[in-house]
Amino acid sequence: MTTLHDRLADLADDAPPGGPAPGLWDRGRQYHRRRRAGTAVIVGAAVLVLATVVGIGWTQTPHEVAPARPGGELRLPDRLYTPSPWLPGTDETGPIGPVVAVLTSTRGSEDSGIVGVSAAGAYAFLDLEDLGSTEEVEVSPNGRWVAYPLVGDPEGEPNTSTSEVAYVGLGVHDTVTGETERLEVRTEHGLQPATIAWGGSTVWWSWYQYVDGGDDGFARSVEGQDSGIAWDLASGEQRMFDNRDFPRLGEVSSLGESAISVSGRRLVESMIHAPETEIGRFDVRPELGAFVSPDISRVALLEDTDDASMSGLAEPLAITEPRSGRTLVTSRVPGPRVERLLGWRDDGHVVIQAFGRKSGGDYLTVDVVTGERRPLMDPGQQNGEVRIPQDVWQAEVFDAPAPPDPMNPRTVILLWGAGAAVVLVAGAALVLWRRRVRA
Amino acid sequence: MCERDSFEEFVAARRGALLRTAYLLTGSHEDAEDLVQVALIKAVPHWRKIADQPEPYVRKVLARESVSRWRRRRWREVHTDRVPETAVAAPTDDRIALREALASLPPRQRAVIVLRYYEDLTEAETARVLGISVGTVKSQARDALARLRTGAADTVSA
Repeated sequence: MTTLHDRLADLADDAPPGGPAPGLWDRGRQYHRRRRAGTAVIVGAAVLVLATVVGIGWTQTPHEVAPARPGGELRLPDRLYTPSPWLPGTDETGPIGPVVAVLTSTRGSEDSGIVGVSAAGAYAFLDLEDLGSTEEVEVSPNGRWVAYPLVGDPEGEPNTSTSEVAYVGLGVHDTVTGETERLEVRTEHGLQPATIAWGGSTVWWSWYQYVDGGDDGFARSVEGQDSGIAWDLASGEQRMFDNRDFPRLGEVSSLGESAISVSGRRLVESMIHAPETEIGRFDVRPELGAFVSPDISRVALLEDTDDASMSGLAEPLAITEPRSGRTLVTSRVPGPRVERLLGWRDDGHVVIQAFGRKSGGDYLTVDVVTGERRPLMDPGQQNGEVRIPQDVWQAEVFDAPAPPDPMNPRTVILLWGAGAAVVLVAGAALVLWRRRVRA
Repeated sequence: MCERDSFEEFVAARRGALLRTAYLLTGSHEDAEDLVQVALIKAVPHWRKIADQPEPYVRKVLARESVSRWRRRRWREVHTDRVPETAVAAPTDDRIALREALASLPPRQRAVIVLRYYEDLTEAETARVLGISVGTVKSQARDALARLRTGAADTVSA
């Protein structure tokens, strides 16, 4: 089938012929000289405008973003701020990792972007190359890596029946070095990403492969099951799995280098060389995932009481002790039900997110013995998803400074223009007045 | 080789290819020649820095000029009365339909289509050339393809 490229190339045959074009160099030099002369005039006017703009009260906190701190200590900000859409990106500021929060937020006037928050409290957009959707980003537990499906061009006609873009692999961005490692899978029609999950420094990624291209609204995939890979970013080791051997990962938490997940009532541990080891079976059905305490003495989970996993309703918080044998006998933690369980703060407290009538979703600690709740972090007003790397929940809390709030560049230009207009009008009025006096 | 010589060598070698891109961006011989001329003139002050690989810079200027200058014109003009002077072959219905459909696109959508599907740039590269975000490239391409499918009959597929 004739592609758009072929048809455009055919149309381009109607273009005028090429060949030398004498005189362009000299005209380019003249253009350069005119620009330099014009620039001198503009600079002079700008000096006058500056006084006017400062008088409007345009003062901005400088964009001093602290550099990345490899191996740097993680810290938990006491609050998050709403990122300005006009924050700089890491292509401009340099890397800021490891990150202690990742926020989906509006970028510019119309797009969506990923903001990283550094352990020093700096905010910057993460410039992730070939990012498709900001919804499919997953950050490693230590805040160093950000994994996401890569957008690109497959070998043949892409399948865009479920997405506007075609996916061709996995990108992992290192927030400390600023480099992105790419794992591309050669396919005829592109991929449908499935799971992206982290266990320590290992990312687990699975996908479906489309059997045909186009956007006829019906996406069929090869065999209908996952292919997958476990990729240890620290060592570089990769292990491919076929659809039978890749672990069935749902909501995943991290414990050391293991990925902890729940399959039915089974608590499962996955490592790169032991992809599915059963730890035990809960006596209740868990809602989503489970979290193992830092000292590996307890497991926390939400109990699924309405028999509808991912119902989004609040459920009882429960804990169990793996020492109790293959059957993981749970006991409920006193207190109100919980909407989201996020991890452990320390061996005696878990972190939850609670949505109250006045709250947009505060982060609290819960004593797993008494049920006592205390505020941990204020998420602020966010217009997108908030992701906190799992290890950060155990970090020391610090008083987070407010990030810069840059203006819309167009507003800045308007202010400068308004200032220049004021100066010019005032100057013209002064000249006219002087002439009138002389007369 | 002095800068002037390397510039003129580049022009002789690549002006034809630039004119093809410019023709797709503008739809007329006269405008295409004007656009390429502007892009090459603007490249001269920077030639010392870009002489090793001038094409990306010249292409960037070409694409951005096509959007900024021609944005002021009525982009809905359809050049049905202009038959190319040096057509390689008699224009087919297909070719006419595509030319008219391209001419109906706003300048930036047209630039995105030409850069993505003629120059075969990635979305990220297209975003860098035009100075816009990748998200904008995606949305502009989607809208442009939808318009092309409506206007250029039934065989436009990316």
